[in-house]
Amino acid sequence: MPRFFFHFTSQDDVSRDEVGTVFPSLEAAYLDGCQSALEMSIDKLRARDDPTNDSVEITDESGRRLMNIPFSDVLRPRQKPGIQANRGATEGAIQACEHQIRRGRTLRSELLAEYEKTQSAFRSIRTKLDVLKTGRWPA
Amino acid sequence: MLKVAENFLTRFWSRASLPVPDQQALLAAALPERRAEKDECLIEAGTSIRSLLVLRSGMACAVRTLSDGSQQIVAVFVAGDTLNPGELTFGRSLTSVYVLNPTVILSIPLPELYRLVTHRPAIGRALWLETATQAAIQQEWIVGLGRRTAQTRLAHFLCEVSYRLRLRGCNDDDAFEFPLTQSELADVLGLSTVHVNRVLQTLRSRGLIELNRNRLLIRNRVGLDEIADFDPEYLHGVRLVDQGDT
Repeated sequence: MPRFFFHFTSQDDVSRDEVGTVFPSLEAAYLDGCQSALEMSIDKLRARDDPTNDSVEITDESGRRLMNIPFSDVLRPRQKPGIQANRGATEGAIQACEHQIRRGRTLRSELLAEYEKTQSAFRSIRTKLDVLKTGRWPA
Repeated sequence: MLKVAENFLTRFWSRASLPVPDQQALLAAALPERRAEKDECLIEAGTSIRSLLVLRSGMACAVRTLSDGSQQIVAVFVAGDTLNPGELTFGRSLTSVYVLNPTVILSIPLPELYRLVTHRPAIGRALWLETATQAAIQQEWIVGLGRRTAQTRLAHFLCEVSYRLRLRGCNDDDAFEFPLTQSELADVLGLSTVHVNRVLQTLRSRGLIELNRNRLLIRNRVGLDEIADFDPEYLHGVRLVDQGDT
């Protein structure tokens, strides 16, 4: 399992993680990092300290920076089941419907025009057939 | 092999002032000792209890798994501990017990044990003492989980394990085998793994401990005891009986 390192920053004080912790994936490391940020925030709040400017950075064994978790992200209450997201999705759906309606109307008018053309062609053929039958043009 | 086991039992049961004939009777009732490797499940939660298990060497832990899959380690056992003295009365095991590092297990079948307890009151007393000791430890854990900060909680646990090992004569100096991983420590202390790692590093940077490759070195015992608010009185019941008898 890969080893991840969690460097905590509080004010200007950075405490480097020299040992690291193994996790099956970055996702697992991130979730545990969030949990630790929450626990440490609560400890700080109990001691009347402000955790909102603290953060924890996750790096891999080569020191490459993978993620940064500001404590304020963890402390922010979850958004209400996205009214924004739903409104966006609804507006998108309405626009798609309106587009389909416009397209339907265009197709209908095109079909009607085509139908008119065919009918007038038939009318002129019928007239010519009558001329051939009777040998004279209608009055 | 019997000789080895006998030495062990002498050391183990002597704390309960168990007379030699009672020790021998217990040994005679025990099944042949067996080895168990790390992560092996010795007792599965919910299964019926058939025997009393005694840890002859190594360490083990009792685990409760919650419905969301998270785990809480509710007890840690060191060499000489019995793994299920209280649960014998429940019929079914309430927790699962896993091996933390290679161990040797002694098991005494229940019918034999009941027979021995009936005829040899000292064995019943020894079991009573064992359950009382484990209850005292659990009470201390409740205090830790409920009231102690992460750092005090972790330091206290290290002090306790070290002290229990010393009581059993398993470590005489300040360095000893400590097989719990960070994630197992987190499950003991009700903390996240990353938080445990951070507190360990704080204790290290203060020159109190060194934890490397399953080996714990206590650099400054007085300092650690102080941070942990550690008073070993709750582990002394056993020793006091010892002293009273000698």
